[in-house]
Amino acid sequence: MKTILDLPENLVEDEIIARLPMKSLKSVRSTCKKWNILCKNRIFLGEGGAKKHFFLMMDSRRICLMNLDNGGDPSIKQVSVLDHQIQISKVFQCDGLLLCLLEDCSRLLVWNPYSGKTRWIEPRNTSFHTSDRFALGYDRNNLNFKILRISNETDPVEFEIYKFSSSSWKVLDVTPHAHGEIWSHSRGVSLKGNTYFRTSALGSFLCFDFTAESFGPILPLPPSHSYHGLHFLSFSCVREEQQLAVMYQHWQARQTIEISVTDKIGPDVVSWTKFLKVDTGTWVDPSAGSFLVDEEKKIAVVFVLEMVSGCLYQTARVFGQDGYFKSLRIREATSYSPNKRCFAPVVCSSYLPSLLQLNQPG
Amino acid sequence: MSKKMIVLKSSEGVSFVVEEAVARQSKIISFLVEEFPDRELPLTNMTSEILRKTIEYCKKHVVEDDGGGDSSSSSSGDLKEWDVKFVAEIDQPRLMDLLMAANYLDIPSLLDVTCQKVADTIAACNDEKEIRATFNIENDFTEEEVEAIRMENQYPI
Repeated sequence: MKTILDLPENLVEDEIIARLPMKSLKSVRSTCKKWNILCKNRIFLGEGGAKKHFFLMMDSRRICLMNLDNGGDPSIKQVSVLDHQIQISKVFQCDGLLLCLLEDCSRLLVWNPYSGKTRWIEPRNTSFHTSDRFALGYDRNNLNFKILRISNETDPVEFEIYKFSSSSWKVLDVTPHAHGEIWSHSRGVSLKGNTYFRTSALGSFLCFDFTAESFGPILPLPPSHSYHGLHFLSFSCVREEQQLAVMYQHWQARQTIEISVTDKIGPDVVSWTKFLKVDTGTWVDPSAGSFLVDEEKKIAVVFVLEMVSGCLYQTARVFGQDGYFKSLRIREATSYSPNKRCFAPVVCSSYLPSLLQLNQPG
Repeated sequence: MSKKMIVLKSSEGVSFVVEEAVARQSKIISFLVEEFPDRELPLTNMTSEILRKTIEYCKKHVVEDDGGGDSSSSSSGDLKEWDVKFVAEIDQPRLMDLLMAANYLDIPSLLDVTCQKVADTIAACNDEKEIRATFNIENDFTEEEVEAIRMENQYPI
């Protein structure tokens, strides 16, 4: 007599778990270790999901999953799209949820692209501001999600926190200047529920700890770089938001990009390891936004805007060791105009969507 | 017109004489009868009970080319209803055996109904405890791991 645990894993995964409604997956995952693993693959897009690497990317209102397997042409599959009336100007990603600021700054939208569910967040006062920065994170003790708002309009800079549990904002009593100002151009990155920001102090960054609701101490960026003069730096994370990655490029040596990843990372601790240093041969404009790192394959994918015969394209440049290079034109960057900021793709290297009433993609 | 018959032998050595058209719903058997015509096909990992059930299913689902006589004329709606009843009457351990048989013999439609039945049974459970009880699965998680999974499921929306 066979039991369900005797069935071959691929059969359970491809034929049984694949048939389950997403709401069942929560309890199926909690049943036993084996099933938890099998479910995870399903969450990463079911069949074949385990073998491929999918990355999230978006333009103004589209969520796509991109497969860069084998360095081949990217296959891009749209999984969710917002209502056409909704115009987003900023996006922050945490744990499969997207925090979006509407272009008119009237409200925030929390969007679960998999379930298609949205939740609106109203401002404490009349409106948000275009220069506000936001981060989404969660308290590791009670698992409640929170939003951090950094308001640059006031002097000193004001910090507010929104709790989903109470649906309300409160002003945070933190002293930002003790930590150096948060670099206004850099987008924070979410890691294990906390958010890391670049600061104005030379070669430094810091963590906003969503559990303690305070900033951690100043942390050093990779010590091997020079932070004097014009240089560019962007953050990303590696594998299920477990490690932080930074991409560095100095204007004096702008054909070289250097990527480092963390060995250790927490609100008050960091240590860095060099990951990849490549001579790109071209100037990779980091203002176009994001990059991601595949540790296993030792590749980095940098998203740039590329001008080809008068048309602007979003292009993924894939760099690897030993001079491996591939450029993949993804799509025309249609929203670009001189007066309107072009939407750089937001990327996360490992996208674990919410399990609550997940709609089947495609 | 006499129908071509083949012989399938269970793990206990019991022979089942089956119309070839019925047995050919299994892609493996279909392949074997072409490779080894007029041979008895030993199915050493299938008990007589499960083989009998599998044949019962295949008989119901056979589609005959000549369309005459008493060939299967069940409408797809009837067939679906029959399938539901067929798997509903099987207890869980035998359902697993049948599922394995469908997988082994490569009978896609039987694999489909058996897997759907298992999926439906899981979906009908209210929580992980009920799933464990239903399928006799041991909880091998530590408290911390349960917490980690719970956390991944805690979304505000």
